[in-house]
Amino acid sequence: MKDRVKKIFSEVFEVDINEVESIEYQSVEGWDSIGHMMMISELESQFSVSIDIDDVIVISNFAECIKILMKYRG
Amino acid sequence: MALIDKPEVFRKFKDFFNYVQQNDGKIGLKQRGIDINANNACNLRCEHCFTNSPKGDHIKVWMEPEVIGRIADEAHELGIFEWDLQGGEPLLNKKYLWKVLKAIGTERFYTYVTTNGYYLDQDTANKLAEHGVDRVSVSIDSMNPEDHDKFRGRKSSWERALKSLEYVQKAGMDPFLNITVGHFNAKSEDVKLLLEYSKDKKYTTLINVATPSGMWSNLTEIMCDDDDRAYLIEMRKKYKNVIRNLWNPFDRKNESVLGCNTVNRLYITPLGDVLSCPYVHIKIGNVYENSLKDISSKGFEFSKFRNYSEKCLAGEDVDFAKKYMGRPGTSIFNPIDVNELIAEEGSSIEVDTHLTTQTII
Repeated sequence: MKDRVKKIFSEVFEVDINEVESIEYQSVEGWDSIGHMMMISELESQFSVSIDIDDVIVISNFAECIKILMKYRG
Repeated sequence: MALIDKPEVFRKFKDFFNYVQQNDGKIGLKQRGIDINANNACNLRCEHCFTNSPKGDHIKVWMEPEVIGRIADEAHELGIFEWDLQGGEPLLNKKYLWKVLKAIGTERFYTYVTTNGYYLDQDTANKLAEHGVDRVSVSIDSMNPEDHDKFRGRKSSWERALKSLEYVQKAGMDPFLNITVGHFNAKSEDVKLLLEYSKDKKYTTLINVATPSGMWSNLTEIMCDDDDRAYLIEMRKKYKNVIRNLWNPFDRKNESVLGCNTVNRLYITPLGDVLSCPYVHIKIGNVYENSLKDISSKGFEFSKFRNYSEKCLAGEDVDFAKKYMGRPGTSIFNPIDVNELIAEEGSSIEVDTHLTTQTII
């Protein structure tokens, strides 16, 4: 799962795949509000989950994203 | 300020994104915004004003904040996620503005104020942010102060406008530098300088194309042609911080076009009339008589508003402008009734059918 999320982060935020674990919301140009929404949409589509808005807004880095995603994937 | 700070807005914005994705990148019939002119008074006398404010048109009419609150409730129900307070000049009466912002419930909308910046100091910027305003758009016409001031009809308006954007940024809101672009300046050095300035300052540039409405009524020669449109897309790709409401904000390649936003963004006048957009003065309802939902449905009955148009009808489609925007006396306070156009369209369809039948026979 981690590798797939890394790929999503890299493609959506337009950053090198080796950097995705170190970036945070609004720390790079691509991770703005629109980028955030596109990332959520991609996660939902690829992992067949629907992420609650309360969880959407707390995802601010890669580690947090994995934690939230685990919650939905069980 | 970021969209994810307002969960309700983010949810609606995501719905909008999903709709656009499923609709081949086009805006279709999805509602997105409200542009409201709650009062038409202004301190400047801009040459291109589309509301006829410099002529003093209806400048003493104020929409009650309670009415605006009711409109906001309806808009929220419809999934509308962005709300633009414009004028006139919204900062002329700040006490009224604070009441309006409270009535809107800014936590439900990506809320912005479009202003000439003349009365925007740091204290005002801070108060706007405290009231939940996410973005402030300030119009700049030129990097030459004299040109801007002449166009706006008041000295020092350029200096104050530029300074106001700095206050906005310092207060933590999104600073938007608005430029009106027409055939007369699309490829000019001056517009390039404005784009550079905005990029350097880390602002967003919003391009509004010049439209033959209001003070510029019937001046179709100001409209952007196909070359100008292509050039603007080039600028979009080059600078990356340049947006138009017509463009698809989700396209990271900065190429695709959502389509003309008529009816998708409703424009409301101080009299409560709802027009298909700020520049196309065609009335599709009134908030004192109809629900926003019914008003939108009525608007989309007219094929020009329902069908996809890659051009801005008001600023790029010369045929549309000549046919629907050139009627003498038309203004935001004296709009054309969409029912007339729907009826005309109905009869023209009947005529076409008749001719086709004859041809077949």
